[in-house]
Amino acid sequence: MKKFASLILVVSIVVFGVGYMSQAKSSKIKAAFLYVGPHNDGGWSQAHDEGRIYLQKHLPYVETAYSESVPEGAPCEKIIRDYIHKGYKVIFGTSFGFMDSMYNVAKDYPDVIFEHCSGYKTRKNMGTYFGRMYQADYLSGLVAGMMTKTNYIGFVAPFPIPEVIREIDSFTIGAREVNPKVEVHVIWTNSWFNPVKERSAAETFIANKADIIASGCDSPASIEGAKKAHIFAIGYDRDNYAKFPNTLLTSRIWHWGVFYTKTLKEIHNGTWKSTQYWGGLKDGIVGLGKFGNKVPKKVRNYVLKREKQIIDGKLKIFEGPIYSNKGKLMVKKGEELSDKDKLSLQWFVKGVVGNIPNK
Amino acid sequence: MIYFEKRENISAKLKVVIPVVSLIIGILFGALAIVVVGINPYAVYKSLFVNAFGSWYAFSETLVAATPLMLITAGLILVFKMGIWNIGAYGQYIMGAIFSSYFAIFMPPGVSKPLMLTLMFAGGAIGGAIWAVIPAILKVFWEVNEVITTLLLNYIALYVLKFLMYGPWKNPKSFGFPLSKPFPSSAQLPVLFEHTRINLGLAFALISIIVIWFIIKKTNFGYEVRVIGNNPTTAKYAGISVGKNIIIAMAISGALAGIAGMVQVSGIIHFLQVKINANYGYTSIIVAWISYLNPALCLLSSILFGGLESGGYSIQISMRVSYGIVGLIESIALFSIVGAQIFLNYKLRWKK
Repeated sequence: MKKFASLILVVSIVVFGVGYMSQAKSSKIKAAFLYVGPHNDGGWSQAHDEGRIYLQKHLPYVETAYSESVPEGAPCEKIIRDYIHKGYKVIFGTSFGFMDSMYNVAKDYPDVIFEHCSGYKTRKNMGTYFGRMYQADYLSGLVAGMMTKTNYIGFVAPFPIPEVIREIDSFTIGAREVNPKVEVHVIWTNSWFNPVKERSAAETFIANKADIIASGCDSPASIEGAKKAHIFAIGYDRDNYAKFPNTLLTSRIWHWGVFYTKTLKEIHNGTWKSTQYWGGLKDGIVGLGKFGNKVPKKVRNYVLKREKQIIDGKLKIFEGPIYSNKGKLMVKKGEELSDKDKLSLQWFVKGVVGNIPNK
Repeated sequence: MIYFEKRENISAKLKVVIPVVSLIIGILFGALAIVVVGINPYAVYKSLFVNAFGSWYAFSETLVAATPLMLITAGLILVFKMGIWNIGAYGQYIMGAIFSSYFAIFMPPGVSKPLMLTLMFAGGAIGGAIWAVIPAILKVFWEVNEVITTLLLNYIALYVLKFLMYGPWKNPKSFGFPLSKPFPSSAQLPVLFEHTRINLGLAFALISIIVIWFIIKKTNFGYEVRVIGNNPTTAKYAGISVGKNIIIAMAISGALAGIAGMVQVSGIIHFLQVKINANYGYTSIIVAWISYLNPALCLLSSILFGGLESGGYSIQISMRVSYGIVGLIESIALFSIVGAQIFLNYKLRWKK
């Protein structure tokens, strides 16, 4: 027993003997980021983390920190309050599920600024931000429509919420603009980040003769599935071109750093106001990744032409006539779907094969 | 070779020494892991402690996390004592949340707060109890293994919740997102201490621990529960109705888990959504074991676990360690505490 006790003592001395680290105080603006997944998830959260690093690099007067795998629901509120107690003045919440926690805390701390990604509740000190990813979705749909030979495209989708439905719809509009025979098939994984389910969804599509897999989920698992089956994939969140140069046709990418630097600059200058930011290709917050090696010049040129038209405001993606996949005319000729309707979109366009549950 | 020998009896001293030493060993192994990633473990543990117990605010959040643990664990202790493995607190918690939310979402406005909360409380208890009685009946009448049925009912409960949130209970004003209507203030449990999130649920939790202690120690039913746990065959010959007791104990256990779900949606979240922290249902199984199925110890270990949870998120902030490290420390500590329990019942022997 004595020997054992002395062993424990020795180990503790070794272990705790490492020098104490002190943290320097600073007068920088402290901004905290909450991620719903790991900061290096290869998708959504990593795209935000790259935005944070971009911000850190470009604005020397900002200090950043992040919490990863933050649970939606009760614990989130405590994490936000902890940051505020530690002197953080700006809180970025990067998942829809953080909305009510942020909204509650924002009420108690009117001089802390809250920016919530993808939600709809705002206060004087709480804004929302998101990107018009549907523009990039549409462009990637053009690529897919021109590249498919079987006319069967699989879309691995997380949740039947407006954001995801908008992605599938705009992607399909793009694909069918260049190839009216295309069908986009949807499988719901009911999870933002579940590599196993995403992979098995991709394999289901492959077994059904899909030759392109697109994904709205946050892991690159479906791209790996496509690579193994020697077919194509459309990436999401970040550019994985370096890893899959022959599998990826292109990717729809978030450039959150653009928004983060813009916001921190405004806060620094004292001009920040709570807004509902919804930037697009023009603002640079969303965009296409590199074209894959297998994408021919002709396709690239067409996509770039359409991209320029969107940026110049000449091309509206949700412009009528648009039919739902149940055959109903949803947007009349000459009209465009309003932003409000886009944000609460609950139907699929013609060409999508799949159901929106309970609708 | 090394072999285990069953202990005849265990001294009171060892009963304290073994868990304490195992906790220390767990902490040390956790520290080793932290050193490997190049961070000072002393600072991490200090920060963990400060963020869980270091201030009134930190402690209040620890109690908030401990409240559902206490409620669920109290019920689990009762069924575990009779050798019934209820793994379904997760699902019972969800059913409790759903049943109680029904009143918060659909009662006409103007219902008084006491009436509304009573209905929600009863709804939570009944919802959880139903979900626990189903496997109890299957067990008693058809000898279906309750580990399997309680576990599988967890998934069914989760899908029922998802169905409601994506379908009929979705708030039409939430832009298609799966959230219920916010609860009216009459459906929110009153906060006990200002500027904290501690609500009436904590009182429910403390009362439930006392009630379970009373049931086990002082009632005839509790006596029968203990006899069944020791030897069901003996119990049967002694004229105890084993089946009836199993169903009653499971109903109580499920009701408490359901009340925990009600406390979470009514006291903390204030609406219904898919993520309602039902994982407390699984954590409570560990809490019950660490408490040696003793209701008084359950109070302490729930607070310890509440502290690990709320402090764990905070060390990410103050120490900039990744979340994986937090999980690692917690699981190593748990593993050694639970693992060391073998030494309570067995001695390690060496034979040439």
